[in-house]
Amino acid sequence: MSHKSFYRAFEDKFRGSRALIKNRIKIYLPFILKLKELYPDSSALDIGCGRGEWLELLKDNGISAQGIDLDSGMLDACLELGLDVIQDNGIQYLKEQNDNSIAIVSAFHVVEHISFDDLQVLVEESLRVLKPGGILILETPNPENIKVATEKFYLDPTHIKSIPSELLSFISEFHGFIRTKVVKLNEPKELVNQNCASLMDVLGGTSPDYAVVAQKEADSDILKHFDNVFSQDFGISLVSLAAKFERRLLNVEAKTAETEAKANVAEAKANVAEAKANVAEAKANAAEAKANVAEAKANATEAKANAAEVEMSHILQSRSWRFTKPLRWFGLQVRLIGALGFRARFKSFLVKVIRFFISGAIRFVSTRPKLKAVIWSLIKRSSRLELFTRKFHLDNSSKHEICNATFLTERGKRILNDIKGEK
Amino acid sequence: MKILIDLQSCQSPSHMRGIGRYSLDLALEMITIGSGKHDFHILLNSSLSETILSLRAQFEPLVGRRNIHIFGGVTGVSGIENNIELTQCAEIIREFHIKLIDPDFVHISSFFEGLDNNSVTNIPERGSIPTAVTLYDLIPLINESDYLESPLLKAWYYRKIEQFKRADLFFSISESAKKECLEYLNIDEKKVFNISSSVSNAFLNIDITETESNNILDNLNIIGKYVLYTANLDTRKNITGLFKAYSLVDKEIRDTLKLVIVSHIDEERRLIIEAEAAKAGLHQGELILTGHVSNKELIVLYKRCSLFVFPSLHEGFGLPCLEAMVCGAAVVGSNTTSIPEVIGLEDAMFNPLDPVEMAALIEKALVDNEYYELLLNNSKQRVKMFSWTTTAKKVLERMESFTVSEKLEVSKESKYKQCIDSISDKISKLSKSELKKIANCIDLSMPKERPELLIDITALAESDAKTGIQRVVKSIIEKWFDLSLSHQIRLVYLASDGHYYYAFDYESKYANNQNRDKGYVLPTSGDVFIGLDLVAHAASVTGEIYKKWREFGVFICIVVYDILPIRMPEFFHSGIKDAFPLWGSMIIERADKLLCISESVANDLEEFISSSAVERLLPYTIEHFHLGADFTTPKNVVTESVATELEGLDLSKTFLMVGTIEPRKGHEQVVNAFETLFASRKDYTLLIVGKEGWNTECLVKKLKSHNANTSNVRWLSNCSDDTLQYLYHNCCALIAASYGEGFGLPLIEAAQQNIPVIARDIPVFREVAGDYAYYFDNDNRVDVIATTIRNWLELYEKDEHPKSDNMPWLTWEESSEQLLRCLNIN
Repeated sequence: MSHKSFYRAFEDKFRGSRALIKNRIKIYLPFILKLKELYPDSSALDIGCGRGEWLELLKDNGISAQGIDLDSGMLDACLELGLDVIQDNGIQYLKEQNDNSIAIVSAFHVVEHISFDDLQVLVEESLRVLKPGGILILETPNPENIKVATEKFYLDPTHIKSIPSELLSFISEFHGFIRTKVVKLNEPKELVNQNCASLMDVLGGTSPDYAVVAQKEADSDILKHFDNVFSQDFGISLVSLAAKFERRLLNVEAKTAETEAKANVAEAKANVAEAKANVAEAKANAAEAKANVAEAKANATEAKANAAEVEMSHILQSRSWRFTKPLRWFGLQVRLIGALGFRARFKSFLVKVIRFFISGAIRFVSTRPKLKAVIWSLIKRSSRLELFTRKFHLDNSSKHEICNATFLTERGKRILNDIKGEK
Repeated sequence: MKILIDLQSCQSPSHMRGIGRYSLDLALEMITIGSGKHDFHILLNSSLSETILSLRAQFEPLVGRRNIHIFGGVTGVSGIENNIELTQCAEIIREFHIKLIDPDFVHISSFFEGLDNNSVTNIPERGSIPTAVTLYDLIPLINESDYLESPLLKAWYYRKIEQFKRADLFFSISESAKKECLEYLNIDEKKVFNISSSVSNAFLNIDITETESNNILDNLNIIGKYVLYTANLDTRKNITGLFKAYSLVDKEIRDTLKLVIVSHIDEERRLIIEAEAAKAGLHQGELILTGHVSNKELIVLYKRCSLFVFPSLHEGFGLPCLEAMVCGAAVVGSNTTSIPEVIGLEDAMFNPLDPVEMAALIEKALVDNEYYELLLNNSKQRVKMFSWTTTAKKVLERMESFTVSEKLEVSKESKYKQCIDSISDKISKLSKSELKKIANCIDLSMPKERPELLIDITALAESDAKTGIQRVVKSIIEKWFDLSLSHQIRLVYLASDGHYYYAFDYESKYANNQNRDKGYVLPTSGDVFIGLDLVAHAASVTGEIYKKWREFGVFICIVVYDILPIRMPEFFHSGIKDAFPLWGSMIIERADKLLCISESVANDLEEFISSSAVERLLPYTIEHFHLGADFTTPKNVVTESVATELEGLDLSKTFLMVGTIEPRKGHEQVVNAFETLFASRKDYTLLIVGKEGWNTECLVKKLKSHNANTSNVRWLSNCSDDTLQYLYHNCCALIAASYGEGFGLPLIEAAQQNIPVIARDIPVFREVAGDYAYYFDNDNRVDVIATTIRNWLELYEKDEHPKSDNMPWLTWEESSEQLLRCLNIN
């Protein structure tokens, strides 16, 4: 399989369908259309044009555009669509262009493929060839997204280095662009309006791509036209997602407190009834507490509990034993509430529920060392979350198995062998 | 006839209910009237341990410890756990244990046990020992819709029914229960006998004064006259029917009355019942639900009620009716099932489904004096018809007249093999841990070939620190291993994991331990445990172990060297001082026999027991024996080392004290006395032999300065055995000044060498030395000793002082035999 067709195939699989991409990049249209008002005959240059979605979009909007790409496999797709493309090194080609000649220079998912030196040249040269007020668009994966930073970025073997948005804006401003805008892109739309976030959202929901949109200096009347589009906000940041997650925990906590308050009232009421608890049961409980080592007692208690379940199943006229499983659980809860107080039981219930949700994510993370490191730094911001995860690990590691064989006598072991038919 | 009574019903939750009381009363009565003729044995389940000791306490005085058998009860076999294979294994183990007991008849006091607990009952399909069962009722079978709705419950009950039907004799508690058995189970009539019932002795033997009765009723909020019913809340108890009828009773009569229902009830059901009463037309406050009451309260309620009504739809016997009659109440009740057998008066019965009829009878009883007299008289007459003696006699007669086919002699080995084979068949359905559980239970169910005498040598097994107690332990076991005993001697130690293990390696010093097991110790019935070594630090652990072992039937003996840390805590450091009371309480709660090393210790212990709040269910005894002493031939050779050590001492004018320097030994008082004597009797010297012990910094400093100067007090902190022997032989007297001892070995050692003894007048020294010593008052003033020495010297110089030559003492051989006799082992 040739390299060309590999990259084309790769792009098809992982970048997304043509239609999808074309739809996504419409986000830049407000910038472009403003430029078109300014320079009705403006032209655009797209470095690393790939399958040519951007060229197509520009063409649809009446802007003549030229694409450059080294990969002929990619260019075939553009030629099929009748787009103006050249097979060449984009930076080299850029260098050959006249000063102040082009309205839009763009490079989608290019900067992560080139060296830092080339990146500087690209920015510098773009500034030179752009018309006053012209716009440079550099789109790249967003390492602020933890899933992208730790996994998705490395899907493309030709990626060199992921570039945080702060660095890319800084380079643009450093080389003389008058202003830059970080446009965060392609996040799941439903997340934007959602009030709460799951842990998985925190890990993978941040806008997976971003672009730095940089504008070349021009008269202030010209720039004024663009104030609107540059002041707009795009995408979802990691911080905002983490905040949403945090808020969710706080909500849970608030509800716990509320329920606890209610439970306290109920408990107070229950105390009256508790005082009347029958003598036998009190005695049994005392004996139980005293003899926690005695297996026999433990079993008797278990059996007693089971009897209560049967009675419960009876009351509810259940048709099959299988149905009583939730009842058994319920019976246990009732007894535990009786033994430990409602407050403690509700807390433990809540912890269980939260742990259930978190445990899946934790298992995912713990098998990926790089992600884990990133996560830890994130998690440490939320001490409560740390507590849960610690507890989770602790619980898992503290499960011992009680070995009965040590408590068999030698004769007991011989009997066991006789039963098994071993010598 | 060897009769084995399976009394698991007195262990299971049934023991709180009528069935448990019935089983207990019947068994006690059978044994009381049948002991002369029959050999009674009791079968209990090890897994239902809570009740074992109290049952042992009741039955051991009647049948002996060895006749109470504990089979290894597998856990996790209750009906609701529905683990059929494991349950079958539990049944096999019980069967195996019964076969080892080899009775002529088995009586299962309650068959339908084990639904919500680990009780195991069964009657095997083939070749079983003749088995009788008590039949209380078949209420669940006859009222399936009320009782066996759950399929699990139904399957369990039907399985029990199938096993139940295999019994050889059925003892029904009423004629009505017998009829049910014939009708619903299709049992051969010749096998079923009505043995009737009676009121529990525990119930009858309660004394209550008039004031007490008043207080009880006040506490229950019952003022004035009332009609009484006692029932659980099952539908068959017909509480709703009673409400309907009661609401039909004339309003005027009801205004002077309350309806009292005694029932175990929770708050939710109380509300339901109260709502039902209101619905039936009862007024607010007319009904009193007492909830659960004690036997005492129940008796008062019976005695004081205007009328006892028993509207139940179905009974096995109807015990509350009889209880009410015994308490002298007027009784009316249903004309169904077994109830007529109890009430026995046509005019006192109504159709429980007809409220009008019931109401009419209640009203009649309350207004018609003549009728009321009739009811009271009836109660008196009926009570005479029921007695436990009659019931127990019927049981024994039926068993005696049962034609027993000749017993086949089956060896233990083949019984074991049969048990193992049956379990092996199920092995594929059992988990590893279940198999272990089973092996453990078989192990427990099988008495050893030869019972074991388990000797605790914990400290010795760890390391031989050559303490006094360890010397005793070694001396005694050495002698015992030389004897041929009914029990096999096994040395055991408490390991750090809190379990006893055989001290296999240590044993090999004394005996060839081929064919002896190593490892974990699980004693069985007939074994004897003796706590020969002192394991005071682990009382909470050993207490639990001894409890368990006692449940199994192991005889627990503890040797008590002294309880000085309890009696004289000021002489001990906190480690011992704090641990000892716990140990003391543990042993008096757990030991069958407390073996003290002297009568004085036994007296101290007795005093401690009477001041302690510990309650022991079982009887115990305190006995004492004396420690032995090694006789050493007098050594009178002055070796070089002895000579150096004793340089400058005139032994003929030297008083000897032997023992560790610690406050309890009374050194300080003696030293001070000799300091004051220095002026008048300069020629006499006090020689102290003993290592530095606890809390004596001051005294040791003083002794050191005495050693440095020319003085009449000398201290030898390190003295060879030879030197000590030499001193015992040549000193002018031994001073035993200790404030408290368990025994008094130095006194004996002095006597062996014929030197006189001057001792503090404490009971244990009197016990050991008798008239063969000179005593001074147990008083800590210095002049007491100074005067004593002066007086003694006067006598001594005239040769009129008490001589120790004939002081009696035991050899270790005699001592160990004395101890063995205390254990009832020969």
